[in-house]
Formats: sequence, C-alpha cells, structure tokens
Amino acid sequence: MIWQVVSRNGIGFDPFSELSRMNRSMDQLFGGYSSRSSAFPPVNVWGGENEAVVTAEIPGVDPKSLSLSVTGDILTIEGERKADEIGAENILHRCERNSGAFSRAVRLPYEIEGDTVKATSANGILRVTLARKESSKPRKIEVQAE
Amino acid sequence: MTNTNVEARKTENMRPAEETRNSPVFSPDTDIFETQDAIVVVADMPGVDDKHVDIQLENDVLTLTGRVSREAPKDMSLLYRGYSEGDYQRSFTLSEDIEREGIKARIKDGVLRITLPKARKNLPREIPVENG
Repeated sequence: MIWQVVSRNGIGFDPFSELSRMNRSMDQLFGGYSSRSSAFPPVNVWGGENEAVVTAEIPGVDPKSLSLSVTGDILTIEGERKADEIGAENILHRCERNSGAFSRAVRLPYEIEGDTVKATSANGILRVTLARKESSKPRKIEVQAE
Repeated sequence: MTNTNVEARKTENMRPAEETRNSPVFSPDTDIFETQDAIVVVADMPGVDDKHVDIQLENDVLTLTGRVSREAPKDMSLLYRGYSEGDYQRSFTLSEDIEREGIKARIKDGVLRITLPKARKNLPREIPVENG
C-alpha cells in the first residue's frame, strides 16, 4: 500500500482526496473572477416577497426558439444556439463561441403561479418574472390570549 | 440543477490600466473567420445594445468595447449568481490591410458582428501565364 500514509493522528492520508480538496478550495478562491458555472445559459435568480425574477445571458439565441416551462418551483429554459454557417472555402481563425441545443432547470425560492409568468428578451438577456403561488405564501397565525 | 451540452464561461480582462467604473470588464467570446474578401469578427456581448457599443480601428489594432446597462429588480435580493454583469472590451491585431470605408457592424440579440473588407491590393488575383 504505497498511498496509505498514516498521519500522526492515525487517520489514513489519501493524496487523491487531498488533491481534489485542494482543487475545490482553489475553485472557491478564484471562483469570483473566472468561470462560476459551466452550464448554459448562466442565470441569476432574484427573489422578493411575492415575485421572483430569473435573468439569463443568451447571446445569439433567437427569442422565438426559446421554450420556457414551470412545474412547481422549477423553471426550465430550453432553446438552441445556432452556429454560424462558415463555408468550406473560408478560414476559421478563432472559435470561442459555443453552439447547440441547451436545457437548464432552475429551482426558485417558492412555488410559482404558472399562468402569470412573463418573459422578455432584449440584447441577448432573457428576463423571466414569476409570481409566487398563493398557497405557498406564509400565513400569519394569530395567537389568541386566553 | 442543470443539464446542458453548451458551455458558458466569462473571462475577466487583466488590464494594465484601471477602470474608472467600478465594474468588471470581460473579454467577450469571439469567433473570427476569413472569407475571400473580408474578415468577419463575431463577439458575444449579452446586455449591450447598438447605442453602447464602440469599435475603433487604430493602425492595425481593432478594439471592441461594449457597455452593459444594469437593471437590478426592485425590492428583490439576489439568491443565486451564475454570472456577473460588467462591460466588455477586447483588442485584436489585424494581419491584413483593411478597406476602412467599407467596415460594417451590427449587433443583434447581444451578438456583435463586424465585417472588415480586405484592401483591394490584397485580394487574390489570378495571374495569367502566357505560353511562349
């Protein structure tokens, strides 16, 4: 057993789990600056007392190709990002933009009234406004003094 | 939480000069391809409209700048952040001579597309070879 080095307190030391732990803490350290998430589209979720807003960066996605659905407290965003048609006679120098079909499910802070979802899209930013379901709102309970 | 086959990432610019606006500056993901008579630059700038984009060509350096207008929803708190908002800037050195008058740019759905026509003298020309 080469990898089983016993440390002073008697617990086995596994260099692989050490490495992945280090990797995780490095991600946390630099997470604010580079890639936070590799899922497309990246979303921000905002929540208020009775309404939630989800914004997503969808550059180059035709708003008509988007399909949104709400089930309970899950919003699903589906669509397709079309790639440029680059003819065989043309030379591609740099290719960083991604394309393809995507689907992303976002959990919201509460259940949503499905009929009142509003979605707008401008300049490659999707903005979905979702109203809280009446039955999920907190109910105030009066305490009766006896 | 997600399933997807498209990857998204944003790269923050490391810039020699500091910004006066307190917001990050990202390097937009860019495709560049060359057709027979033009160079086409396609850059992702979500949140930028036609009034807030600036394209400069100085000597052979092309610089794209996009300003994002931020609108945080009122009376709401941010529960999950998957992306940060900030401006975009990126420069490219062009290796071809460009016909400056013919440069065209448009922005649609947050994607900036610039067509830079090559200078006439650089266009490929067929040279007839005489038999003699």
